[in-house]
Amino acid sequence: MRRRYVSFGLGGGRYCVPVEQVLQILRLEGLIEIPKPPPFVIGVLNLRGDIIPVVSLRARLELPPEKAARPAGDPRKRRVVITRVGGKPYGLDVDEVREIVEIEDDGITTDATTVLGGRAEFILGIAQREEGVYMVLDLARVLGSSRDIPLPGPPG
Amino acid sequence: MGANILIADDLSFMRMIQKEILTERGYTVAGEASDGIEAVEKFKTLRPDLVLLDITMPNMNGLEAMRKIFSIDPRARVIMCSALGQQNLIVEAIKAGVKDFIVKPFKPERILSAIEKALRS
Amino acid sequence: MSDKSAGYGGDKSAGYGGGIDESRLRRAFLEEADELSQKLGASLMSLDADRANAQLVNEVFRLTHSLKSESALMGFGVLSELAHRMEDVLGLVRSGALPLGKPVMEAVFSGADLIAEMMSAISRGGSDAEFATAAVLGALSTAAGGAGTGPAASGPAGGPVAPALPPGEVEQVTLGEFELAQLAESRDRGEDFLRVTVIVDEAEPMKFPRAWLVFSALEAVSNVVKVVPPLEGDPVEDSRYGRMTFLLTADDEKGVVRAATGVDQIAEVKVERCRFDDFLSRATSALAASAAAATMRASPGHPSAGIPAGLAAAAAAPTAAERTSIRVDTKKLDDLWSLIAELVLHKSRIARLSEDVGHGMDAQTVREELVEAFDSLDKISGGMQQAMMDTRMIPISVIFSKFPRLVRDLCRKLGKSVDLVVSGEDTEIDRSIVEALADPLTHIIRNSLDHGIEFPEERVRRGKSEKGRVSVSARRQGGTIVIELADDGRGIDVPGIRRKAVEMGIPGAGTLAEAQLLDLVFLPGFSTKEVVTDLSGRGVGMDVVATRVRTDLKGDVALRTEADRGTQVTLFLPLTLTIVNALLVRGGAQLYALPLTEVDSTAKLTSSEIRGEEGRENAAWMDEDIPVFSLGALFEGGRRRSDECFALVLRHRDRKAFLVVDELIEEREVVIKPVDDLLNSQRMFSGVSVLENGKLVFILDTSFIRREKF
Repeated sequence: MRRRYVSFGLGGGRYCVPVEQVLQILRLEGLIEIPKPPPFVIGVLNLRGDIIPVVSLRARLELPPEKAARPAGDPRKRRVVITRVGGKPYGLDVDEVREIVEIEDDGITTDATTVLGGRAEFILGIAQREEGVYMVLDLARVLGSSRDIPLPGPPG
Repeated sequence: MGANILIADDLSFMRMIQKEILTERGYTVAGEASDGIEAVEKFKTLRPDLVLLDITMPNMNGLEAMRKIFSIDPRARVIMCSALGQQNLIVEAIKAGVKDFIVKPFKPERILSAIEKALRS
Repeated sequence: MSDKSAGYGGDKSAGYGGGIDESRLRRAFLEEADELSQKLGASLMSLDADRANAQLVNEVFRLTHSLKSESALMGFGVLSELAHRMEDVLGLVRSGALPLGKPVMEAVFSGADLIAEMMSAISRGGSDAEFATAAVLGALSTAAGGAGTGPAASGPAGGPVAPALPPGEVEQVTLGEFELAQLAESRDRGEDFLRVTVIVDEAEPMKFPRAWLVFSALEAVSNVVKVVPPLEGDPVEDSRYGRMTFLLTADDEKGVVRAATGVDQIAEVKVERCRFDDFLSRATSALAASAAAATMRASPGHPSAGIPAGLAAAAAAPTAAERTSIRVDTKKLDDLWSLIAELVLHKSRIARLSEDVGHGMDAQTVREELVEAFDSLDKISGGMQQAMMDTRMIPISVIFSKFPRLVRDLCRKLGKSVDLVVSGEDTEIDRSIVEALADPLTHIIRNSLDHGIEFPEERVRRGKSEKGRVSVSARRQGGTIVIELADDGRGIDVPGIRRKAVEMGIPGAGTLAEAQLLDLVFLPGFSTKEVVTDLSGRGVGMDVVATRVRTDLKGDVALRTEADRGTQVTLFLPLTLTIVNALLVRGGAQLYALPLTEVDSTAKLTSSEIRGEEGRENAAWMDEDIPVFSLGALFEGGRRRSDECFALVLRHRDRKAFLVVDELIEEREVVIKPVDDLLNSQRMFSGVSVLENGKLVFILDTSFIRREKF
């Protein structure tokens, strides 16, 4: 079955999540700091009264931190992807948002022995495409909540 | 119409009459059982739309068979057949989920009307 | 004498027209009845030699019972009646009411012999009609002595029909305290109060179970408050149950009508709306038929009787009971009234001010007065908001009060024994979530009793108390309601969940930690096992509970379990909108708020007053030494040392503590919103608030002062 995913770039790699999980895409502005946050939470956003925690995907996936002098990408492209997982909204800090891709279920391999750096358990699978490799994120794991472990649908 | 019905009664004569009445009306008799144990077994394998269950049967009586059937499928449709004078047993059966009860000896219209109503639930 | 209306063979005039091959029937009957008769003879011989053998008694009883049924179907009334009398006598022997002495055996033997002779005659083409049974029947009667003989029932002729009451007739119904409480709750929820009158078909030979069928059908779609005559216990005279009255409350009147008319062998169903006030204003009252009544005819033999148009009209008729009103504690209304009175006062003050300006009052004074007036108005409007919010709050006892009965019923049905402990019933929750909350809580309790609590014998075997324990509690924690349901049963089968998870192909199932495995219980597919044993037929799986709580109520639910010790389900529910008076303070760059109700006082602490080592400091307050916490240490990872610092004295239940802050800002109202777990990993916050300037304020949950370590 073909499903649609939103893909974004992070530290040179391509990641994607199912469109159904994406609510909004915003510029990273108005980030509010919070006391004693978990390591990968960089702050919160106040969206129309909703307090939305923003997670640094880079930190969460344990990718090498950005070098201050040479940022990975164009800082103007930096975005926050507002996702909904388990009924609650969360923001993901990414380098850039790319496009919407259609991927076949069986085009995704779950045997991810080598991933381009970072923690393999947050990746549901890898899709090999012409333009490159897309890593499908397991958002439920990324956001630390196992209660939304998806039932077999898209491979995982 | 055409629903599958399991008939359970230890008297083959009874079963025959019930079968005649039912098939005449267009129902399918999925199977017959002559005691409680067989009734439960056949329920498991045949999964009929409705069960006509006699309350007094050897080896396992109707009430016990009924309870076992409900534990297999709590939405099973069971109609209890009983002789006069077993009020408390019938009430037990109703509490457990039996859809209707028929008093023996019964008229054909009675059994058909009960089956029709039970199937509609 | 014998009723031939159900005959198929013996009486050609009755019976089923067409389709049944008479001769085949007769052959089948002969074969089987003959065999039964033979077996009867043989068993009786064995029984005679072994009178105490209960199994044989049973066997003989069953044989006569079967003979009775079969011969009645074939229209052989005489045989049937004889077999019936024998069955009655054997029934008495079986139950122990009649000892199996010589006269009894003799009489039964005679009966069996006579039956054999009848069978012979019938098989030769004759019938049972010529046989004289009076002597044997008499012998049976005598042998049974006075032990419960009664006239043999003669087929499906029913008892006398209870006379129908003319419409509008008044009945005396008394409701007890519990029933009145149920009515009151129902009224609060805006449900309908209905009287359902049912008349059982005359042809129904057993009205008591028939009435039970109706009761059972009604119970599934409504809350039956009263049944007249009562169905509990043993039936009195069967004919009394020919006319039943059910008082019930429901939120779906059509469903009630459908349920009642869906039962076969019911001649008439009448559904009327009643007024709660008729009962709730007086303890005993006469039930007057009120508003529109709808009468339906559901005749047997026409199973396709639909619900006629008359019902639709009745359902649309204006209801006597107001549906959109709510009940409010009068104290809350009084509070609101006082605030309004103050509002009026300040309004006139401002009016005077504008006059004073006109009369040349100086600008400075005007400004001061205006500021004061505004402050007061501000406070009053906030108060009014809170007061209005309060009228929406009702104590959770509205839901909890149903649990004792639920548990009792479940214990009865399941054969278990449980003590129910309820606490925190006066915790207030918003009216609007009551509905959505009742189902999930009820389901969790059913689950506990169904799966959690073991049978008494098993409990004793495992060294537990015979009675299980289920506890339900509610409390408010800042902006969240916390409801805990716990049982001391066998706990959740965690390895079983793991197995199922692996089966379902859930990624990483083999290595998930217990907490994560327990979360899986809330997924659809995991709950199906629980749904199977639902008792009322209205299944709500744990996945629906989770959806209800997480999505609809925007809360959360968590499970904890320990094998053989029990399971605890905790629900966290945000209050819809809570405005709370709080003390705003600063710690570093962050603002925090403490609900005023949890702040005893403010104080200044000098460093000399603080004793102990870092992390375990104490200082004196009034007569006791209480711990000292500081915002800096709690959140910024360092403690600022200065000679003198501001502190709050916090109170949580019986404990007190100092909280050192960088700055005391102000007392103000804050609107509390629930705070996400991700931001609250230490569970220090009970909510978060956003000020007008966009600044974030975290509301501290003072329970942290009870913690031993951080």
